[in-house]
Amino acid sequence: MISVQTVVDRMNATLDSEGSDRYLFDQDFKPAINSSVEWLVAVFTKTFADSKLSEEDLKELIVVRLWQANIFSRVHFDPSSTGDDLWSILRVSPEPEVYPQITPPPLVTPGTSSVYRGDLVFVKSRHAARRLTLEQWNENVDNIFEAGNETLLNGFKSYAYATDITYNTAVGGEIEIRPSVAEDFVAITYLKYPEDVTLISDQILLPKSLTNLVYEKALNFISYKQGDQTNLYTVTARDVQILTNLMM
Amino acid sequence: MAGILLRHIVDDIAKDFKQVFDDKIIQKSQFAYWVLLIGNRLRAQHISKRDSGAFLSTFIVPVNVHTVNNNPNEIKSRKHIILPKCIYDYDEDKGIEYMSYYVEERIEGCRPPFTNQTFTRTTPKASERLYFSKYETPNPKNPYFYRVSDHLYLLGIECVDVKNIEIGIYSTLDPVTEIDLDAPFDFPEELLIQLKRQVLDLGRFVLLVPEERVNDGNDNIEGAKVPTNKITSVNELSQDTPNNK
Repeated sequence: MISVQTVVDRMNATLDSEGSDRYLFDQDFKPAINSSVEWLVAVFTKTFADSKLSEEDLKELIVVRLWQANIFSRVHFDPSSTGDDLWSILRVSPEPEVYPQITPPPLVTPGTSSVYRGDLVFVKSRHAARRLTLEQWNENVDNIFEAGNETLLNGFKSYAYATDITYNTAVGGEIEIRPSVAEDFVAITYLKYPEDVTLISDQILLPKSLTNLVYEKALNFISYKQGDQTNLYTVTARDVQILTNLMM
Repeated sequence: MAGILLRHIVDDIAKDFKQVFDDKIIQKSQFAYWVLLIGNRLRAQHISKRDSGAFLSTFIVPVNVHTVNNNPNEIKSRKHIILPKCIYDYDEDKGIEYMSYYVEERIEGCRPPFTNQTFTRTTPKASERLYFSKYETPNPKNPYFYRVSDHLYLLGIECVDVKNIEIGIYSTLDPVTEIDLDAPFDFPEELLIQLKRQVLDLGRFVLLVPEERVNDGNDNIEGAKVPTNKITSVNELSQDTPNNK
C-alpha cells in the first residue's frame, strides 16, 4: 500500500511548494493522484493481456469471494454486495470447499440471480475454470479435449466460463460456468478496482514499489497546469517512460 | 491390486510437455486419450505374447433373447449374451478366453462348476456343418457360440433354461469417458517406459502443428511459426545399424 501523504509530500518537495497554498490537496493533488492510479490501471491491464506481469504484483487488490450460482450455472457480480468494483477476474473456482463447511441450500428464486455469500470463506478448490471466447463456448460443448465440455464428468472434468454477459436485463451481467454448477458454490478471485483517493490520510492499494511511478505520473498531470514545454512535464514524462519500459 | 495410477502417467506427461499452466493447449483428457490409444496397442501385444491370466476379466452375464429383429445384429428368438466390455479383436475371437454355464446344484465331486459346460467357438457359416456330425452337434453338453459384433449367439442350449453365462475376456482399457483417473492403471508395469516414450513421440508430433492453432483473431499466417525441421522416425535405430551415428 502507498500512503497518499507520502506521495503528496514528495510532490510538494519536487514542486518546491512545501508550506505554501500554491497546490491544494482537493484541487490539485487528489485529481492528479487519482488520474495517475487510473493510468496505472490501464497500463497493468495491457501488461496482463500480454502476460508480462503476474497478478501477485497487485496482491493488495486481490480478493476471493463466494457466490451460489443460479439454476443456469451463472453468477452475477454485484459491486453493491461485495463493496468492490471489478477490475479483472483472475480465477473462477467451481466446487470450492467453504468455511463454515455447509452444503449449498436451495435457492429462494433459483431462476433469477445468483446469491452472494459474504458469510462464507473460501478454503480451497481442485478446479479452475478456463475462460473461453463466446465462439469457443458454443463449439466446445461436446469436445472432450477442451475445457468446458459437458461430456467428461469423471476425473477429467474441466471447467470453463464465459465472460460477463447480460442474459437477463433484470439481473445484469453474469458469468456462466460449464459443466453446470447450478445452485452450487463458486469462488471468484478478482482484482478489485483501486478506490479513488478522497482524503490525504487514505492509502492507495498498489504495491509500495510503484510509489515512484504514482508520484511521477501525478506530477506529470500537475505539469499540465503549468503550461507548454515545462521542465516538470519533460522530466516526469521521461521518468514515467523509463519506469514503464522496465515494467513492460 | 496396487499399482501406478493413470493420473500419475497423465500428470507426468503433462509436466514433460509443460502443459501444466493455465493457458495450456492440451488438456489432461487428451493426454489420457493418447495414453489409452498407445496403451491398448502395447497391452494387446503383451497379452498375445504371454500365457498369463494377469489381464483376464471374468463376468457373469445374463442370457437374453430378442423378441423382434432389429438391424443390425439383433435377430429374434436366438439365445445370446452381450459382451460386457470391448475386447481385443484377436484372431478367431481369442479375446474371449472361455465361456461356460452351470447350475450350482449339479456340481459333481470337487470339479469347479465353470468347467462343466464350456462353449466352443464357431462361426455362423461353420455352425451349419456341425449339425452333420453326431460328435459335434451343438447340445447342452457341447454348446457353441459365435460372435456378431458385441453379440455372442449361443448354440446347443436352446432347449435348456440357462439364465447366466460365465465369460472370461481380454478387455480393452476403458474409454476416456469412463476410465477412473485414480484407479490402478491395468497395464503391464514393465511396458510403462515404452508407453511413455511413444506418447511423448506422438505429442511431439502434435506440437509441431503450425501455430494456426492459436486463436489471435488474425487471418494473416505470414510469419507464423511453421516447423521446418524434418520429422524423423519415432523408432530408435538399432545399435548395430551402420548409419546410427
